[in-house]
Amino acid sequence: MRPILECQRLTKKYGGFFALSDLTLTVERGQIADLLGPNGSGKTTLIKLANGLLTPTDGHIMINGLSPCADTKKIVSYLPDRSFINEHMRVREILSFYEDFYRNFSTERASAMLDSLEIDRSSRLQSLSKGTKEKVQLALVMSRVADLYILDEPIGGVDPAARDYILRTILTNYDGNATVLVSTHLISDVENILDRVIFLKDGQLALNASVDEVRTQYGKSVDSLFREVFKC
Amino acid sequence: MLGKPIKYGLKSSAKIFILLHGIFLLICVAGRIFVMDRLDFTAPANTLIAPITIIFTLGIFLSTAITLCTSPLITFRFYRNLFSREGYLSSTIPASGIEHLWAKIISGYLLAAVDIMVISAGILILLTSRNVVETYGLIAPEITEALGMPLSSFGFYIFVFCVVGSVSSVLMIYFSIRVGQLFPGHRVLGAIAVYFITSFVIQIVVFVIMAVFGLFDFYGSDIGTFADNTLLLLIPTTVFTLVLTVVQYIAVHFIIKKKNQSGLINKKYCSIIYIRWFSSTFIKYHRSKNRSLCIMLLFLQRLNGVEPSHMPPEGIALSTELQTHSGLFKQISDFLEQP
Repeated sequence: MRPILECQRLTKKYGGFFALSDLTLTVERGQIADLLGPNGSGKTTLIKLANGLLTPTDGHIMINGLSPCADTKKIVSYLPDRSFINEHMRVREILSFYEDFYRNFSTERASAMLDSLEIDRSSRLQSLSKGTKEKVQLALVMSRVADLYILDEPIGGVDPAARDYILRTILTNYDGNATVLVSTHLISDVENILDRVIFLKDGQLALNASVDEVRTQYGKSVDSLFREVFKC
Repeated sequence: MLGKPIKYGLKSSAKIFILLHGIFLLICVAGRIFVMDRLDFTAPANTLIAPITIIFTLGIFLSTAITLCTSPLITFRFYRNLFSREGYLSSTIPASGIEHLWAKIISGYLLAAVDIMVISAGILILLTSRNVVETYGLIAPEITEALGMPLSSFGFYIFVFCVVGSVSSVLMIYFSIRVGQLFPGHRVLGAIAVYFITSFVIQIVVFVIMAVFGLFDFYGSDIGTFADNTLLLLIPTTVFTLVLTVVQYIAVHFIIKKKNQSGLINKKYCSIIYIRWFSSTFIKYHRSKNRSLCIMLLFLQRLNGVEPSHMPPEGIALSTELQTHSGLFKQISDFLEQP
């Protein structure tokens, strides 16, 4: 089977600034990979390119062999790094929205997660706390049976207990054949669940290795290696 | 896949839209019950002027206000749903950019058309009380003769033209926003500027067309009835605005399609390999004085990244592309240096 995500000499330029420069990267299926890098390294740009929110300046990005299009959006479940749902919508309306637009959305799974969070279906999103909103959005994204889950900063800005809940949610709802691409700075929290790490630096690939390879080759944890590579 | 985006597009605007138009209709009903039904048209004229003026002014004010509220509603929903943070959700549903555009056009047009229908209904509510109808019946023949057709027919034509023409206002908004998106950092300002510039240009074009075809003289003359002249003005105006609507749609469609293509230049025709072969062949066999064409070929090379516009962070002096094509550059520069 084709890799789920392929980048071939991918470049994205904003005016004179290169957010991504000549990036060649392959992400195989059935992995949990962390996209790591300092602020401005191109992580969110890569994620947006994979979701068709941006178009490349040069090169190609492919999801299951296709450029981002309506067909790839059916198999990619994306959690942006910010609140992306109309906050005036009620939780049940958001559930209906997802049921309507995504054939692979599992209402049972979403309902179970929302029940565990004790979320009132009639409450509006704006009435929920920040952490609860993040959990609701993650629950919706992980309730889709997708081939590729792209989670941009899913645990940023929430308390440690919420982080544990989010990581458990990712693991328990993740199908072994699917791929999860997470972008987060909180490496120590996610290191235990990762299969692969991808380091980006100044828009270019600095490292693409499995967690075991990192520990064996460098003799240190991913967190320590990250601090060393991206030392200010 | 259009039905669902249209459904949610209408749902998101429904509350405010229904509230505003509901209030408008309630005011019209109240105006009819408390003012129009109580007017005595047999009383002296000076006792009727004040209430009629008030109700007329209020009607125009409310109709204008409701339309001015509907346009921003359509604008904000389009912008928020596609270009603000809600755009993250919209852009990731399995629908193409063109499907999104059509969904927005249809839902926006439905709102604009219903707006006109509600305003028309409000006017009918105000003007169809029994005393107004009976009084109008006394002067109907004169009005019909002056207009050239019954007032109801004239009103119906105006209504149809307004409903048909409202699609142009919707496309104008979407066109302005879409073109405004091409100005990074000044998207909203760009959209506003595009809107006003386009409106200004349209007015100038309409003026020129009317002048060229002598329509000013025609409409100023006594030929034809008021209704005939009005319709003769409305028909070309509506046709022109519909043509403009199609042009604006094509422009927006083009922008969306181009956004989905990588790069500005079709790589098939401007590949480095093709230009390299063509340049070598041209210089080899056509050593004439065509320096400008060689400069253009150099430019095309640069446009395709032969001379890199970005140096890797490590600061390598020459990119791989420059090294690969340095031989070709030498050929071109030698040719240009020839006397």
